[in-house]
Amino acid sequence: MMAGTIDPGDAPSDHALLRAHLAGDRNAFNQLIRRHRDRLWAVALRTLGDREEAADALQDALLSAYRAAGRFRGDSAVTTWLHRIVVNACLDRARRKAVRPTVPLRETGPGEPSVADRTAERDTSLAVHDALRRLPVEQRAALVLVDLHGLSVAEAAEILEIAEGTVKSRCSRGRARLAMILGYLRNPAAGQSVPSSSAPTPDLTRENP
Amino acid sequence: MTSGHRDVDFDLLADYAGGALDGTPAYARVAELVRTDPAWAAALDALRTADALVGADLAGLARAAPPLPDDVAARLDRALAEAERPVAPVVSLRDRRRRRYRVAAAVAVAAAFLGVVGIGGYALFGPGESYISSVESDRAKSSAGGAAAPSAERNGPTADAQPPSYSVPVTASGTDYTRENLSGVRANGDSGLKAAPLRPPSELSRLTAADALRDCLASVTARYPGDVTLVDYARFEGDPALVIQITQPRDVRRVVVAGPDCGAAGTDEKYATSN
Repeated sequence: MMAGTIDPGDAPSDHALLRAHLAGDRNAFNQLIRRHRDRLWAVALRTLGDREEAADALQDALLSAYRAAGRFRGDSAVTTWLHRIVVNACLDRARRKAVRPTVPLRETGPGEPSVADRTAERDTSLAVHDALRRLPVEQRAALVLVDLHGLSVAEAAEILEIAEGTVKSRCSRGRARLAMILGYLRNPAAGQSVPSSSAPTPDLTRENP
Repeated sequence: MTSGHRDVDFDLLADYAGGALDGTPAYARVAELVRTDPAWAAALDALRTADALVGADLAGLARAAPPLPDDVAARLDRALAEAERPVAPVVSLRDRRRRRYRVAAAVAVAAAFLGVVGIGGYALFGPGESYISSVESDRAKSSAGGAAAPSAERNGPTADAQPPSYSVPVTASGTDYTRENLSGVRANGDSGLKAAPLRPPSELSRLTAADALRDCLASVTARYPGDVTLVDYARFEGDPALVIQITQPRDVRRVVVAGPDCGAAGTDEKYATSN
C-alpha cells in the first residue's frame, strides 16, 4: 500500500485514515467519521439536550475537524481529538446561545416511535435526560463523557482539557444535583432542590488534585 | 463549623464522596466533619444512597443512546461534501438535484454580481449572472427566470446543466432585533420588502457589495443548508447585523444573525435560532 492511501481490503486505523485524508484520499475522512459519528452524535445530543442544536454543533465540529486535521499532533487517540472538538463545539454553542432549559427534548423524527409508544424504561430515560439538561453545561459535559459514555476520568480530562480532579468534582457535584432534581436526595437545610453551595467547581490542578 | 443540617455543604460533600478532594487539605477537613458531626455523617449516607440510584438511572440512559438520525447523517454528508469541493465556482450535479438546498448550490456558481446591492428588492441568483435590483424592476426578471445563459468559462467544467434561477428578497427594515423578537422576521420575505430604498447601517456597507453578500450567504448556507427567504440589513441588540432567514428541511425556519464580517471571516455569526 502506498503511503497516505487506503487499501479497501484493509481495516485501517483511525490514525491511518487521518493520514490518508491529509494525503488527499477523499474517502478517508468520511470513513473515519462514519466509524464514530453515532457516538459523537450521542455526546452532542446529551450535552446540548436539543436535537437541532446538537446537529448544528456536530456539523460545526466535523467541518472544523476536516479543516484542522493537519494540526492533529498524533499524541492522543483520534477519537479523543474528535470528542474534544465536538464537546468544545457544544460548550461554545451552549454558552453563546444560552440554550433554554425549558425546551422539551425532541429526539423523534420521521419513522421514529412517538412518545406514547415508548416503554416505561424509555420514559425514565427521558426524565433523567431532562434532569440532566438542568445541570450547568460544564457538569453535564463531564457526566456525559464519564457516566454515559464510559470514558475514564483521565480521558475526560484530556477531552475537556481540565485537571482530573476537576472532572471528578464536576461529575460528583453533577450527580448530587441530579439526585436532588430526581427527588432521591433532599437538601434539608434549604428545603429546595438545589445543593447548598453555589461555589464553583474548584479548579484543581493535575499536580495537586 | 457548627453542627446541624444547615451547615452541610452538599457540593463539598459530593467532592469528598467522589474522590475529588483526595490528597488535598480539604479532604481531612471534610473527613473530620463526617466523623464528628452527625448531620454530615447522615448527609453522606443519604448522598451515597442517592448516588447509587442516580448511577442506575444514568446507566439506563446510556443504554438508550440514540443513533444518528438519517436526516442528520445526510446533512453531515452534504456538509462534508461541500467542504471537499474546490473553492472555484463549480456546482455539482448532486447539488443541483437537491433543490431544497438550491441556495447554497446556486450561490456557489453565481458569477460576480452586477453593481452594488440595491436595498429593497431581490438578490437574483442564476446561471451566468446574479444581482440585486429594485422591487419594481426585479419582479419581472424574477418571474422571467433570471439572466442570460452562462459561459462555460464562468461556470466551470461541471456546469453542463442549468441550476434553477431564484431570487432572495433583501430589505433594510431598520429593525433593531432582539432574541425575543427575532421570530417576528416575516415568514414570507416578500411581504417584508420596502418599496422605497432604505439605508442600511454604515457598518454593513461592505455587505452591500454584491460579491460580499454572495460570499456571506454561501458561508451561512454551508452551515445551515436551506432556502434563504429573506435578508434584512438591520441591527441585533443594537449592533449592525445581517438578519438572514432560512427555511430548512422538516420545515425548520431558522434565523441567523451575521455580523459585518460575514463572508470575510466565516459566518461572523452573532446568534441563530429556529422554530
